[in-house]
Amino acid sequence: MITKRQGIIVALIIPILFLAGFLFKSHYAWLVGERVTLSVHGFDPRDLISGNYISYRIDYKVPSMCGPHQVDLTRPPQAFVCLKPKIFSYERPLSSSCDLYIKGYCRYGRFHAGIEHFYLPEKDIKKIDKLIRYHKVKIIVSITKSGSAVVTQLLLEDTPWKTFLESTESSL
Amino acid sequence: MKNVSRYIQNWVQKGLISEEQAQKIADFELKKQPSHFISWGFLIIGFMVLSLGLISTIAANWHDISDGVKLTIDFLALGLTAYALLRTQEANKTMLFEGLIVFFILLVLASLGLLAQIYQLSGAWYNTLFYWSLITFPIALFSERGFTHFLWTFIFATVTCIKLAFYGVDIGIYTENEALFALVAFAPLASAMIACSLYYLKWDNRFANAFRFFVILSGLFAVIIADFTINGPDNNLRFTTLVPSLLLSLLLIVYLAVVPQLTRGQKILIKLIVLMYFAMFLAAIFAENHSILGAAFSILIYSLSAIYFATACQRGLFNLLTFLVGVRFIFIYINQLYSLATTGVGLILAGVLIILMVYLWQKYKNRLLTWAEELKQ
Repeated sequence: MITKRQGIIVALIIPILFLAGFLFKSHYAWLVGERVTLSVHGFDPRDLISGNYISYRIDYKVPSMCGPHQVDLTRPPQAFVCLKPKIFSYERPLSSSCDLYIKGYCRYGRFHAGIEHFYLPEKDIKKIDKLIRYHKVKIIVSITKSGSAVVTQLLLEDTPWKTFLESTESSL
Repeated sequence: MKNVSRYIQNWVQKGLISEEQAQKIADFELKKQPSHFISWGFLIIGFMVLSLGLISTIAANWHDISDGVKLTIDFLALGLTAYALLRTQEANKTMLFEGLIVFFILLVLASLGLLAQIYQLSGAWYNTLFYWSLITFPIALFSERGFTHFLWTFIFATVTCIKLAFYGVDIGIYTENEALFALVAFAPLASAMIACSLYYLKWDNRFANAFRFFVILSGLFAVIIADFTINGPDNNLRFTTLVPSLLLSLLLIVYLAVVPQLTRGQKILIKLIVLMYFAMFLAAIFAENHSILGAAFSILIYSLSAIYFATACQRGLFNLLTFLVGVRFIFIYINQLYSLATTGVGLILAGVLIILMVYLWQKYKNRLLTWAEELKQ
């Protein structure tokens, strides 16, 4: 029989373990994933509980993404963007036909992979918000073999945003 | 206790109770634990503000600290709070234990935000809250206070319904408008099913009460939304929007038969409320610019609910719902006679209407309440 104290210990460990697992999964994608640079556009500055971030649309350069498909209530609404070669599919690509893919879902005809935000320091958000409107912007994404992706860097004119910001400030 | 003593003294003087009974009541009241309601309230506010402060600090100054340090501090804070929780439970410090539970579950939410920030993750906010509610459920079970259960239930029920609605959008069976409408109609019915199941299983009355409270809150919100929709122009909503709610309504009506805590009269009342509720949402899809229909449904649902709460001896909710019936009547007057209502004569008539309603309410309130309470049998 489990005592109340043992129950509390288990109840406290569950969220800590979940957070540790989440941290491990994200860090794993960051460490071992293949790095790919993608162009982004359509910015939207926000301020929510996680801090200041910009949200954008990623240009995967893949034709006919998120088109109509057969509704299947038995499966989660997943979608996949293969980057090598560039193909969109509602089925998980086979390793023989796709070298690298990102897992996500479609909503309102747009593909979402959970990498559409980039968090920035509060003091820099306004400056970046202005800069991204007039410069070429890209992100570096780390993608694992299972299709999980994390953003590792935001590039302005192919330069990391921090370096670009410093060079802009020093030139003024 | 001072007030109780005064009452007891008064009752003895009026000959309502004997000296012996007065002594027994006084002893009983003295033995009762003080509720510490205000202290507990402030303690919870304190812990909530502290948690919000931590979240804000993460949101504002995160870039000045390295990721490793932030994560170490975060997990240390979680571990220390967990340790403090165990120590307070051991030392039987109930108030501090309750406050720390609220702090811990909010700290878990802040940790999810921190991880999303460090690894640049951008999932939907309701998914984050859904996973948060799942992993914090076990510790919420150990809370003795209704506030923690309600906080957890409110977030869990809301985000689960939003998640289900967006699932409908993602698989292409609903538009966003339809999903939101389906969500509003669905939420009170789904929560009522959960509340009934919890009462039936007699597993945890605190969560059953929290879900019941959510049914009232989301139900009132849903009726207001349906009322506005009936009043408004064509909304292009299809009948399929209400299929989940229709199935749940039927299931709830059948399920009520096995809930032992409800009397026959109460079951009939709930069935009538559910039927009226569904009919109102059906009208919201097919009717447009129909102000009287919306008002009629609202008044009927409020009235039936008020009678139900009277049978459940919940006079506060009975008073609130009858007040809403009055408010809705006044809105009918303003809506129907808008041009008159803005004139001097219109204002006089509105004033007379309100005074008349208060008069009728005062005159018939107790009779209505007694009649409703008799329906319990």
